[in-house]
Amino acid sequence: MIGSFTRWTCIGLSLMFFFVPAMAEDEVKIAETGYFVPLSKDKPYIHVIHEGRSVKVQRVQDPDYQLQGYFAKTARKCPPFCIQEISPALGVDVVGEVELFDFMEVELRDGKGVLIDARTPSWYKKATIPGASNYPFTLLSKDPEDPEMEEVLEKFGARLREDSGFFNELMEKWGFVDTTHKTEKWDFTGAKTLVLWCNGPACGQSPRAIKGLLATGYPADKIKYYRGGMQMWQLWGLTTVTPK
Amino acid sequence: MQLGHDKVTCKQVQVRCRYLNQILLVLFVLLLTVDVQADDYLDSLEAEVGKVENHSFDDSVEPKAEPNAEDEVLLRHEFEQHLSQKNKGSYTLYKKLPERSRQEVYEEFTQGASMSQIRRMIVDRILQR
Repeated sequence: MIGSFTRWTCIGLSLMFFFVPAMAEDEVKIAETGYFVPLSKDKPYIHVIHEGRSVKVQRVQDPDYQLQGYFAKTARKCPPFCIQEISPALGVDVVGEVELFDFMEVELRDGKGVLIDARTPSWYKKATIPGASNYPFTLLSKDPEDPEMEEVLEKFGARLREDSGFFNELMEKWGFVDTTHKTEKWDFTGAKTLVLWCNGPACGQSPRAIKGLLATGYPADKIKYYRGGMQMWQLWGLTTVTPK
Repeated sequence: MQLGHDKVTCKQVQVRCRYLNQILLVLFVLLLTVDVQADDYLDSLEAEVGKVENHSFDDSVEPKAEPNAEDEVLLRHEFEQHLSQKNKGSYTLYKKLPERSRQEVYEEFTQGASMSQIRRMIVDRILQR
């Protein structure tokens, strides 16, 4: 037993010696160039599929670049454009750019997540975050019984629950069957993770959409809120795309 | 006695009706207000989006710093770099593929295939399935 442990420790240490210099070399490479601004500490850039083509998401490399125009504004009329709470609802995680990059690279590409631009189409048409789909808050805050809302939920991977039978109902009632992600009408077990965003911390469009989704029973742990939105995205000089 | 009771009931009903009318009126006004508020919000949003048009983010940016990704289509060497960083094993197999298969894998990636599909495709090509 001890011999086996020692052997595995040796293998582990050898692997560390093999890989650690390689990682350090990568880090030095970025630092050596001097001018390259990566997305985050370990991501120079990422590739995201937008409208069927791969788009490289990166930061503006010009060190003198300054944000100008609409998203550089510090104040807008409040109400309606008031600073929003950190989280729009209990149980909904708030994510920043780094978490969003991870989401775009993994869940979004693998079809297990949807990046939702919750703004009205006129905003979406101006520019959006690569990989985002436009589901305006006006749609996502519709009545849970509305056919359009039901169609959207099905697109997100929710399933309308059919009559599961007396026995199953009993099992659910007694707690033998997991009902964590189920409502009377919907089964959200296979539903995708959604990341919603809009114009930034002073934008109420995605919080409204999130509240609309929660009203249908969409599980809060499958909804994330990118509060920074377009304003922070552009402030960091990140790539945007103009939908066709 | 019965008649008197009836009279009181009628009065009560009248009073209730009056209150009911008022309640309905208040509810109607509230509903209207909510609707008007929602419309106001949409109107404000539409007015704001017009400002983006006038002070476009892209207009003020030098072409070299343009962050809009119209032309940021993934190049093949970037895909290979991405693969070598994220999936070293698959990259090793990918390098062993003939040129035509490599191009196919690259095209599949640019068309939106997930990394698991890409890995499977590489193995399939290696095993000539």
